[in-house]
Amino acid sequence: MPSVPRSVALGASLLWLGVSLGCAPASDPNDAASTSREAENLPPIEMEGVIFEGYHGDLQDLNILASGATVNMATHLANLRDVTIHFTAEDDTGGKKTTSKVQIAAPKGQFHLDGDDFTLTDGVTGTTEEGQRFVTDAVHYVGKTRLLVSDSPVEMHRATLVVTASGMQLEVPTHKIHLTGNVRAQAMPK
Amino acid sequence: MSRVLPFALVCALAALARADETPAPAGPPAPPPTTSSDAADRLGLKFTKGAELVITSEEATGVKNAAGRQTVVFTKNVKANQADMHLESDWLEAIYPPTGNGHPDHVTAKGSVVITQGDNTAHCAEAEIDNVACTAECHSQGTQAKLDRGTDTVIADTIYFDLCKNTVKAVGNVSVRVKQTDPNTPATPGATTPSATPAPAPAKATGG
Repeated sequence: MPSVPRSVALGASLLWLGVSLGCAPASDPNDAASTSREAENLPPIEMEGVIFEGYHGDLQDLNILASGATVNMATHLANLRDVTIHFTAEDDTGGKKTTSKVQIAAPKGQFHLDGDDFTLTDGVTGTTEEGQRFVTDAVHYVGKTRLLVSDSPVEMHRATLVVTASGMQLEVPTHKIHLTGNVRAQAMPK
Repeated sequence: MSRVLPFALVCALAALARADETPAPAGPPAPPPTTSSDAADRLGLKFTKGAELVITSEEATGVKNAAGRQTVVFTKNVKANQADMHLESDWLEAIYPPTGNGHPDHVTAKGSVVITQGDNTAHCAEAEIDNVACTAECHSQGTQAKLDRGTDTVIADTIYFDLCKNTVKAVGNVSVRVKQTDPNTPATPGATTPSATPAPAPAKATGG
C-alpha cells in the first residue's frame, strides 16, 4: 500500500488519479479499457491529514478536511474519517469568494470523486449561516444542486429555541432551510 | 326567561355597540389565569409573556427576510401554544429578533385561523400578533372576523386585542350577539352553554 505523508492534498492526489484513470487518450479504446482494468486492480490508497477543495464550475464551494481517507480507485469513492466540511460562498458585491459559516462534521464520510457529492454518517453536527447548530444522524450533499439533505431526525438550536423535524434540506447558496415532517419549534421560557 | 350576563360583559358589549374605536375597558390588568373560569372572566385574549411557546406543523422553511431578520414559515396543520393560548392555522410566519431570543417578536397566521383561550375563541382568515407591542389583530377578507366569548359573539371586519391590557376593540360592521341563558340552569364556572339551548333573537349592534 502506498505510503502518503501527512497533510497531503487529496485534490493533488485526485489530480494524479485523474491523469492515470480518466485522461488516457480516448482515441484508442483498447488503451482505455486496459487503463480501466488497471484501475480496478489497483489497491485502495490510504491517506492521512487530507485536504480537498471541491469546485462547482469555477467556484470553489467545498473545503474538506479529514484525519484520514481511503480512496478506492475502482469506484472513485473516498471513505473519510473525522471529516469536517466548510462551504464557501460568493458575497453579493462582485462575486468575491468568502467563507460561509455553513460547516458540518461527522466521524465518517463518503466522498464521490466524480461529482462532489458526499454522505456524512455516524452522527453529524453542523452550523448554519445564521449560527444555528444542528444535529442529525446522516446528511447527503448533492454537488449539482448544492443541496444538503437529511432524511434522519434533525434537532436545531438557536439561543433558547429548539427545533426538531423528521428531515431537513439546506440550500447552500441561499441558506434556506426546509424542515419536513413533525416540525416542532420550542421557545423556552424567558 | 331573563338575561343573566356578567356585569363586565355587559359593559364590554355596550362599549362595542357604540362602535367607537376606543378599547373597551376591562378594569385592572388580570393576572395570568390558572383555570378556565378565570379565562372566562376575560374580555378578550391575554398573553402570558415569556412563557414557553411551542409551534408545531408538518413543514417549515427558515430563511432571512429582506430586512435581514430570521424568519420561519410553518405550513400544513400549524398549531401554536403558549400558556393557555392556542392558535391553529394553515400557515404561520414567525419573525425572530436579531438578538437570538427564541421567542418571535412578530407572528402572522393565515388560513382558517382559530385563536382559543379559555372560553374565548377568535376566528379569522388572518391574524397578526405583535409580541413587542403586545397586540393582536384578527381580520378576514370576504367574511368577517368573529370572537366567541362563551355563548356570546362579536363579529366585525377587524378585531383588535391588547394582549397585555386584556382589552378588545371591534372595528367595522360590528355585530354583537348575546344569547340568553336559562336562570334555572345552575351556572357552571367556565362551562359553555349547550348549543341545544333555544337561541333567542340576538342583541345586535352595528357600527364602524
